[in-house]
Amino acid sequence: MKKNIIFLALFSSILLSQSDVLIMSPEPNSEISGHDVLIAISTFGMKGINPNNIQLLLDGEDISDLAYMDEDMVTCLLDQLDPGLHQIQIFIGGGGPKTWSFTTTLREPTLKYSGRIRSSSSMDQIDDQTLNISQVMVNFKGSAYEWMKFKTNVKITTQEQALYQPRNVLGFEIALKDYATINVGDSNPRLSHFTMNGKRIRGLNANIKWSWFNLHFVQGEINRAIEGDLKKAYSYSIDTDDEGTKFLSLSRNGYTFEQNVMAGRLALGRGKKFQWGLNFMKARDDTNSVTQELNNAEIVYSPDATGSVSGLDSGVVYTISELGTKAHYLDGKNWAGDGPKDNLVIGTDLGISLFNKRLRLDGELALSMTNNNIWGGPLTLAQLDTMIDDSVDNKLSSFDLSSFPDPADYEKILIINPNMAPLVPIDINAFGDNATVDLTDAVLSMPSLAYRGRAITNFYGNYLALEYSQVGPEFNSLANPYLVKNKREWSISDKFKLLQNRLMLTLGYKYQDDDILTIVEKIKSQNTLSLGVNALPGPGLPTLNFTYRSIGRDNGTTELVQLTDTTSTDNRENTHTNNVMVNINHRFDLIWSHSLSGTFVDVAKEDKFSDRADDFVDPAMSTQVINISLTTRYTIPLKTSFNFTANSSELSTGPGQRGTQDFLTANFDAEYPFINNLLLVKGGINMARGTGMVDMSWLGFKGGIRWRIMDDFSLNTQGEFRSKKTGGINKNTIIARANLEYSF
Amino acid sequence: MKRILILCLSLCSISTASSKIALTIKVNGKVFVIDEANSVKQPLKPGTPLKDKDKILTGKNGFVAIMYLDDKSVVKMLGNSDLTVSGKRSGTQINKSLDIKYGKIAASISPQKGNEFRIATPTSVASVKGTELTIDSQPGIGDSFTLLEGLIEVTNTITGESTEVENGETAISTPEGSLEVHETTTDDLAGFEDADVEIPTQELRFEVEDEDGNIKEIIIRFQ
Repeated sequence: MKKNIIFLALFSSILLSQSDVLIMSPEPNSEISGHDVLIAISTFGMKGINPNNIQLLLDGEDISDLAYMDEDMVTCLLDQLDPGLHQIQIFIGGGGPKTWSFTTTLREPTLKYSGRIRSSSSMDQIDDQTLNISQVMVNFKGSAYEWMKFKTNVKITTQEQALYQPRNVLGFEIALKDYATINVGDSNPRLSHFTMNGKRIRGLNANIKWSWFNLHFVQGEINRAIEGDLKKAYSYSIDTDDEGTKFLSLSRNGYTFEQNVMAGRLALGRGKKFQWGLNFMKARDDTNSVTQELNNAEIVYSPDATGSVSGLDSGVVYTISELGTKAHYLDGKNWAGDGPKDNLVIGTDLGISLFNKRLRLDGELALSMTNNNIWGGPLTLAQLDTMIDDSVDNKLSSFDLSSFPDPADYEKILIINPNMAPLVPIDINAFGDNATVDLTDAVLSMPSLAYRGRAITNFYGNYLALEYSQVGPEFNSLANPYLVKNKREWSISDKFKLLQNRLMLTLGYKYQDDDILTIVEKIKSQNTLSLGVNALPGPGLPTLNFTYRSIGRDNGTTELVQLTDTTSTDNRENTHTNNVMVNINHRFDLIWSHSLSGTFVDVAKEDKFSDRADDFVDPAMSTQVINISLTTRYTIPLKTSFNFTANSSELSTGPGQRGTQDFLTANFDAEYPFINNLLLVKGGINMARGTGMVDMSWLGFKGGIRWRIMDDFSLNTQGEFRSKKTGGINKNTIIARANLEYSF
Repeated sequence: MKRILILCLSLCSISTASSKIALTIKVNGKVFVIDEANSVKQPLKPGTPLKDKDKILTGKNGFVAIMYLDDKSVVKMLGNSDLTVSGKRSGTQINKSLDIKYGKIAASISPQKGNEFRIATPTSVASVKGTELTIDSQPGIGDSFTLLEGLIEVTNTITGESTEVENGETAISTPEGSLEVHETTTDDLAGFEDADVEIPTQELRFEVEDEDGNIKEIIIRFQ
């Protein structure tokens, strides 16, 4: 029996010696809070562990009874430890103890901060154009007392000029737990998809949350006022006054009004399962923000067919102040260029999440009212009646206007005048006993209405999404200017994840058209069918990606347009495009570590009409692209990458003409780290050759370094020279960049 | 004592010796674990072992750090996150993967001997061998993978496009299928302050000598 015990002890110690325990918490020699101290070690992979033979000591005191022990781990959670140095000893089996120390401190510091300062300069000389940009970015953030966070976002750039909208960024954010976030300066507020969705605003952006109550308020400037180039600030004509004296009639040019915005969103619901929001956005150009008389602005005077102005010499440059009484200034409503705008958007949105967010439903509806020129102010009700329908006074279609409010009383909300787009938001023929348009159709086809809905389900690795959206041709939000208008679309897509995310199949269909207004006769449409297969079988095996897209476009025109001179014009568009992409990636070790990638793309677009005239500009085209790249990491530790791309296209080059263009590019890059990665040196060579419609070639060299001067201070520089020959003409490109970065 | 009793009870109820893969080492705020087998949702406590396919949910101010048992790879979840930890025990190793449904995750992955650490989101799959990174996954917006150290390969599962992401770079992968890599900016790490991933602790050491010739060292640690 004694022999057996000795044998077991020996066997146990041999097995235990094969693998050591892993200290999981606290780290040796670490400094931690004395609250909720977790002592944990892992014995994973060790054999012969008997939890009953484990002993855990803290500062020499046996705390084994407080610990949880099994064959994989030992853990012990202690509420509070006094500040100071502590030692842990753990005895497992018959070997000596595993010993380590750590220090506990009082509460964590109440103020934490960090930041980064980055300066960069770039010089781009491309052919005959040179662009130099320098900028400094300062990002600072921190927290205090666990309930306050703050952040700055500052960028100062040489691109900042009075002629353009701000390029400098000056933003400060303070957050009080999750209850309030206040941004002052530049920020990118998002209220909803249609009203305000990330455009930069300079002003106040405040968000308040309290349980199910959410309030988001934005007030500031979308555009600042720009007087424009003083040499192009005026255009003129020569007019004659009542006394027969000629004078210059000056109109302002090249200006931008200050555009102010106020927006808000009131939402009910936490958003996890339900949220309903009401949104509004009000933006208006400030007509007083652009100066009528710019004394330093200049004009070049020259008489015209109507005559000349006495005292002015042809071809002479005059400042506006020098013109004196020889110039009259046109009122703003007669200025050239875009008129000052007024815009109001109201909307509502709803979001619902069910089954632990596996089913999500959301939708939004918004209506805009836009005035494209508010010079002259609002119309009265009588003027409006006359303008829209002057057959009967106080009647607009079947409506009695006598009880309607006068729009002039509401000019603070929206200035209503003939420049409204649309003047009446809904087809008035949908109302009254003699209505000629269905009311539902009239509502759904309102030109300044936008709405969307989406349903997403995620069950059993199957991600199914259904979406519908429509944005009317006159829908306009000045705070969201990049929204695509006059588009209606619906789509369905399904993504399957199989074999533990190693095989993914994607199927999708999208239909888009402009069939929004009831008066549309020729509907432009596009159908897109897509299929994707992604196979990622696992380590050591290549990944395969295949994508197919079929795109059909039709502009609704099926007949030639006959012109008055017996000729015709062909505006018909009906094309079909097939787009196939196959990509294979493989990472493997062969002496060194490599990543090899090959991609093939084929795009073929065909014209569905076969009866085109000989001189028709054929929309059909085809393109094939082959790309091969190889990245190698050597043991020394050099990294190189080689990339080769061949592109061949065949397309129309003009009426009745077709041509081909072939393009080959190849580049080789290498990088090598020195001094324990403190210095990274990069270099490369690239070349290209194009033949066919355009003959061209280039040869380029590039190089650079990334130098970590200190842990928190680094320098990054790179330069590129490219000698290009196009159509027998040589031109050079030089690009140089440098940036310094300091973190604290 | 009450806390220890609760911990022991939860250890007993949650764990089974054969399938443990990781350990909960830190918890702040509301954090829950859901056992795949019985779908029971329980508060997660420090010291609680985690099994293959355990799902972890954090509340809006929640934070949890877990550590794998075999190599001390650490995964930190910030508020409003949903993550399933997976791991297959194979000898002295665990073949690990994370399935992020949404949220912010910071991970410090030890080198995986011959295996890959797979991180999947609704939009992307990342193959990790040994690295430190942050992941911000928002369905509808996409994923952001920021590399603080090492190298990963990110694949957009909509298009299948793959790219390597290196130290100091951030990959943005969107549900629309785009996959772009840019140099990491402060904005890419916004919201990860609580995960302590941004600035490593630095140390200044000064040696001072008194009149008797004794040398003492002053150590200042700062972030």
